[in-house]
Amino acid sequence: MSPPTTTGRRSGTGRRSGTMLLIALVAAGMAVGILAIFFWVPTANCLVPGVAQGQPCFDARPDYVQHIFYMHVPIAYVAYLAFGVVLIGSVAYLKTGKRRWDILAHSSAEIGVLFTGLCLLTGMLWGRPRWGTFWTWDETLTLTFVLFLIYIGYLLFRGLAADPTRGARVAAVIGIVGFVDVPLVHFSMVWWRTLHPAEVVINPAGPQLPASELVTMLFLLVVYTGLYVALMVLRTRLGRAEEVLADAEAAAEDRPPLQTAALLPGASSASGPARP
Amino acid sequence: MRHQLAYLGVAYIVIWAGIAGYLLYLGRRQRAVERRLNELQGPDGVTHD
Repeated sequence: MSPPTTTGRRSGTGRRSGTMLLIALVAAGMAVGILAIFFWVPTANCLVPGVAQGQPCFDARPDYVQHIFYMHVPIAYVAYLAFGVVLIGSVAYLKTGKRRWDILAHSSAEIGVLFTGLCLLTGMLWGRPRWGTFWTWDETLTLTFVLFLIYIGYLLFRGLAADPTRGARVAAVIGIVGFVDVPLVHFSMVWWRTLHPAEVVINPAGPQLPASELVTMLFLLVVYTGLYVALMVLRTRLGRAEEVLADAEAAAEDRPPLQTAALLPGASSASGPARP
Repeated sequence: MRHQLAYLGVAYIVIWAGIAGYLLYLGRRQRAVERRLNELQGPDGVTHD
């Protein structure tokens, strides 16, 4: 057995370098994506109604605000993905009672809240020059704000719960019920006459973008997925370390541990039996 | 046009600041947990008060 390393420092060296490699790839991908946004996709869009985007236009003018779109859409997609993982982790936790599913759901909820917040802010910064206002109580915007509040509530509930196990179970229910809002946000653009632009990538009639814009968008979707995976690796590692710390503190105070000894490699000594 | 670039610049700064801030926050929490675990373990690797 490896020597006791509460955070799996030695056995986790390979995983850490793998995470650093993923972060470096994401950073390189972001740089390539930004170059594509500024130097490949057309900056001048025709703003004359009725003329298709990407078609020759005699009233073309620089449209730099549209560059926000290439970040806003992948950010929204990562938020959906994160809340989907919260749903899976919550269902699995309620079914099996294993802490690792709870850590997965909690980690993904935190990242989902970050990305929903970024989605709202970038949308507001796009909307101000387009609509003349930062915010309007439009269906899509309101439902996205509700989504943000639901998962803020999830995190607050977890943080404030006196009994962590009970808090985790109730949070799992919130995570499952809260996911109902994700399809509502997405299909609000289809079901209602919302001010928010229609979905252009996942569209029943096929992607509604010129090739350069579509390729850039899909590339950034992959890069942002990589960013989500990297953040999840870091956040779940922290979650496991916090569980081991809770067990170690319980052992030090002679309290029953949370039975998370198997969460970290080489952590058994920290979460082992309490001292006599 | 300058007006549009300002919105674009602020949006990109918000995105990078948000992601970088979250990474720093995770790093700080991870270090705090590791420090506390090391305190509990002591130099001999056995849990101490």
